[in-house]
Amino acid sequence: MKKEVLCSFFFLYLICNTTQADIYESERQEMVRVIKRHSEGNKSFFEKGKMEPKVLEAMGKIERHQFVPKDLKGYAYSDRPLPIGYGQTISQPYIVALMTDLLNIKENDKVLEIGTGSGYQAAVLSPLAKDVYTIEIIPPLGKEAKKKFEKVSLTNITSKVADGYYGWKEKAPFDAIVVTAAASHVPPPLIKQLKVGGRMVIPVGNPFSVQYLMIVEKNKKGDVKTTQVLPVRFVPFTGKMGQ
Amino acid sequence: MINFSVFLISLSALSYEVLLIRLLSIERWQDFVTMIIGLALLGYGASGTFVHLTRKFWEKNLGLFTGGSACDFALSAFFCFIFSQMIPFNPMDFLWNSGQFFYLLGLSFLFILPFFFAATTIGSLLSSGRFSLEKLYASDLLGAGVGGGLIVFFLNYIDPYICLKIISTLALLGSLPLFHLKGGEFPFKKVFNFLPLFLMVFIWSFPLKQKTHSFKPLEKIKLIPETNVKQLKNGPMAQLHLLESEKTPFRHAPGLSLKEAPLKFPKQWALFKDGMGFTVFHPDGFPNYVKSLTSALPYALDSSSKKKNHVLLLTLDDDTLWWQAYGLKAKKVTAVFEDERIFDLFLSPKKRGQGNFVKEKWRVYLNQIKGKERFALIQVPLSFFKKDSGGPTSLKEDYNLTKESFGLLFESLEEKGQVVFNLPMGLPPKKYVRLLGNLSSQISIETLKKQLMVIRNWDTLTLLFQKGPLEKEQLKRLKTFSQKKNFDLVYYPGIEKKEANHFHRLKAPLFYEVTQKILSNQGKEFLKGYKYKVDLVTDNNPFFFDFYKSESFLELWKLRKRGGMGLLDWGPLFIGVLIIQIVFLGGAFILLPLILSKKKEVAFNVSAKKGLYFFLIGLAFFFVEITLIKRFIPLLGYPLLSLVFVLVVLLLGSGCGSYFLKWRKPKWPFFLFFIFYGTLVGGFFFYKMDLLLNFSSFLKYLLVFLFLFPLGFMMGMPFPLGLDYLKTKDKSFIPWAWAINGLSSVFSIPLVTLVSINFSLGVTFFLGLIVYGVAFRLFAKNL
Repeated sequence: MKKEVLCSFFFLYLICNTTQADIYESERQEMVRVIKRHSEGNKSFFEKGKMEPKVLEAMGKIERHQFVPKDLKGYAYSDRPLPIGYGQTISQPYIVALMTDLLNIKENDKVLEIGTGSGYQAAVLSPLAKDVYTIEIIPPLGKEAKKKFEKVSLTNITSKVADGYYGWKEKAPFDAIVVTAAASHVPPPLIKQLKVGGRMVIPVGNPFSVQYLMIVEKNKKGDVKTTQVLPVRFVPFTGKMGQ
Repeated sequence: MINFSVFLISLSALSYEVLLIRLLSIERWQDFVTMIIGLALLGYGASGTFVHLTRKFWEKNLGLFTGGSACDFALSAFFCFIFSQMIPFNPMDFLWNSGQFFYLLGLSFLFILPFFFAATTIGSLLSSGRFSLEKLYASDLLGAGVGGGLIVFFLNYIDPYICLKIISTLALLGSLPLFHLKGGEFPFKKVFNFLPLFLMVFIWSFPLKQKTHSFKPLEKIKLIPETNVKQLKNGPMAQLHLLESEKTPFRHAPGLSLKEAPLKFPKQWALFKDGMGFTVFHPDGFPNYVKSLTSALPYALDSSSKKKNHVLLLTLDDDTLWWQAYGLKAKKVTAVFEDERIFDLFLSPKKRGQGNFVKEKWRVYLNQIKGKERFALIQVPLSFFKKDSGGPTSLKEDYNLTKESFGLLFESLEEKGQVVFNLPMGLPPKKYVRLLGNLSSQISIETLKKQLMVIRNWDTLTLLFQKGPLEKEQLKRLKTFSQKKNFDLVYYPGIEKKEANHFHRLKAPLFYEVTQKILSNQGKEFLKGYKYKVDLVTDNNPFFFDFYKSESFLELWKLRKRGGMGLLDWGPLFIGVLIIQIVFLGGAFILLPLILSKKKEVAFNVSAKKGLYFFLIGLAFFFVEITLIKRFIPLLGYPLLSLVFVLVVLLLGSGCGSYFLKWRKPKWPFFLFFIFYGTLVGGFFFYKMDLLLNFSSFLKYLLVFLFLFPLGFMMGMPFPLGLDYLKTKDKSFIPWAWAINGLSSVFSIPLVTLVSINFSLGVTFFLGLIVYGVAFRLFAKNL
């Protein structure tokens, strides 16, 4: 009898868990569809005319609910930023996808992220790159993210708690750098650690409303140029004046 | 003694209102403070209904009822604030999460309670018919007037959280005489003599701590290891935090050249005002990187042997521009400080050097020295443009960036002198377009074309206007400077398209293009057709940061989830939400209980005309009061000073006006004189205020008092006149009058904002007078 009861509980647990996992899976796929829809309405933004399919694939693969606080798991796949504590947010999935797309990552690339936060951006980069390095300055956030990477077995992510301004000299150079922490200027050590032909992406604005994205590129001579892009197509002029 | 009780309770209630502005600004976002407090005033309206419905009870137990209400006010003022600290309202999440609407509602509801109890105390005393209406109403208004002044005085010297305890204590003191009122006996009456004293001990022993919202920049920075608060200064204007970080430098340098950013940053102290975005001080002397900021442009235009005669730095809350002027090429530097506490912080590092320091509002200073002193360079700091556009803050008045301000700057330049505006770049361009558009309406296009240059990096623009044509040598130096620092050229006389948009590229050379269009013959048409509101900003219409345009709103709204949230200006939308909340809460707390009341014979005996009279005089009072508060900011210097001084003078005047009715009731010519006098005051202050700007502070305050006191005196009469009429003709309507008047006051707050941003402060003021006129006509004919 005892065994039967235990077995029933075990199966009940399995059913509940499976159902929850299924719900998350279907919500995640819906989130990817939303991102795809948004990106299709925003074609001019993308260099190749559309968002890279592998970016959407990565978004569909990474379990965002693992990176949001317990009480907000129900909103994990809503296309909106969510607070994660310590005055930080997990970014809107669409913006994460845009930034990932802008980085142009190839499978053998080494990527650096400044500002681990929830760890979600690093997780999305993980299936696209060979190695992802991520630095967080706030110790509890850095430690929590590290645990999450272990929990979801993202073995190609290495994280540390440090001042991201100086980058990660021992692991440099990087093919791509994403800076999610606020900065009033581009840190010179990061430019130095960026490979020739590499790209750095920095969102400008507050975490709930990104104003524009800044792309920093380093050419063969080592010169640096930036490009600022609005995350949407919008022309502020009207009529004849807009032409 | 009863009048003294009313005086104390009213004093506490108004002090509480002003203190809440301070406390909520410290812990949350200023944007929402006015709204929360505006809604909280619904408590006044709801109390009218309550007083009406509970009349039978309190008429028998007036002492217990009013004393108890006063104690409830004291307790709720304290504890509602503590409860409010637990509500996780996050304004930045407002457009993403509809749940935030309910948090906001929760906050508003909490703050309704204290005002409800304060008004219930006063309202039941007024409606009881046992005391002189005029004396009570006068005590109420005088108490409010004194309270406004007292709290500002306290905030200069006492921690705001202690002030909260003091306010509760004063309200409890006010409750003491009320328990002794005649009006039925109640059990354990003697115990109630001690209740307020017991509550005082309870409140003083209860721990109260500052809990700043975790999304405020100050709280985020404090999480960085080894970052400490070096100094904390409270005051009525703002709470200042000076932070230092031993391990992680702040590295704050907007406008810095990408090419010349230092690997090792000099030590910085970060200064936060009410926990918002910070500015920096450099305690270890000249920071070399200031040469590599876009704001260094005016110094780069001079030959190496030339030094600028006299540089004026407006409203310093940062020492970057100071070091630039002092360390580069200025013979003499004058720095203007608006906040004395920031001046003290500025002087605290020893290696500061010599300069002329002025502690004054910059417009006042420039008016004082008009014609006596002229400047080779005036630097307008980045902080003038830092106000976030988009949310409700964008609807706040700002007198730094008006036509009159710019006029003053240009007048203060010597021949070949330069004025430099440093502003955040922002995408799409809004602030820049408005600034240039406004300049183009003051200076002829032909002059601008010859005397303007603009450069930018990836986040900052520097616009330089020279009084006199730019010389070839200067243009040459501009190009060298920009090339060396990798700054993009946006405009100089003769610029070609190919020269723009090189180092910090945009998909199109947007800033170059908008500049060309504004400086073309079709400039006006271009500005008119721009998708954001970029029209002329004046002292009478001082809303530089209001970019909302209804024609573009839908287009932007559709883009918000596709990464376009940052493009949206949603201040007016927010006002709409506010009005919905008022309708909802007003209906729930004021009208519904009256309608559902069993006393239907009274509840439905509502005369539309009587109701309208009390509604209109409430609306008109606030239209006049709020616009005057906003208009006096440039004259009196600071928003809070203007708020308190205007409020105090009008309330003192109103109190005296109300008291005057005890002896003499005015006849109809009074109403005519009121409107005439109001027109005179409005005409002078809204259109000719500049005449007073260079008067001494004492004279300015005296003149404002002399003009506004009589206006307040007259504004204090319509309400008690109406009440007095009701006392003899329809006593049952008194609570309705109280409720409707309270409700209209709450409506008027968002309405004033909407009318002001769409028309002007002056128009809104005169609209208030017209509403008074309509109300007077109703009173004369129908009441």
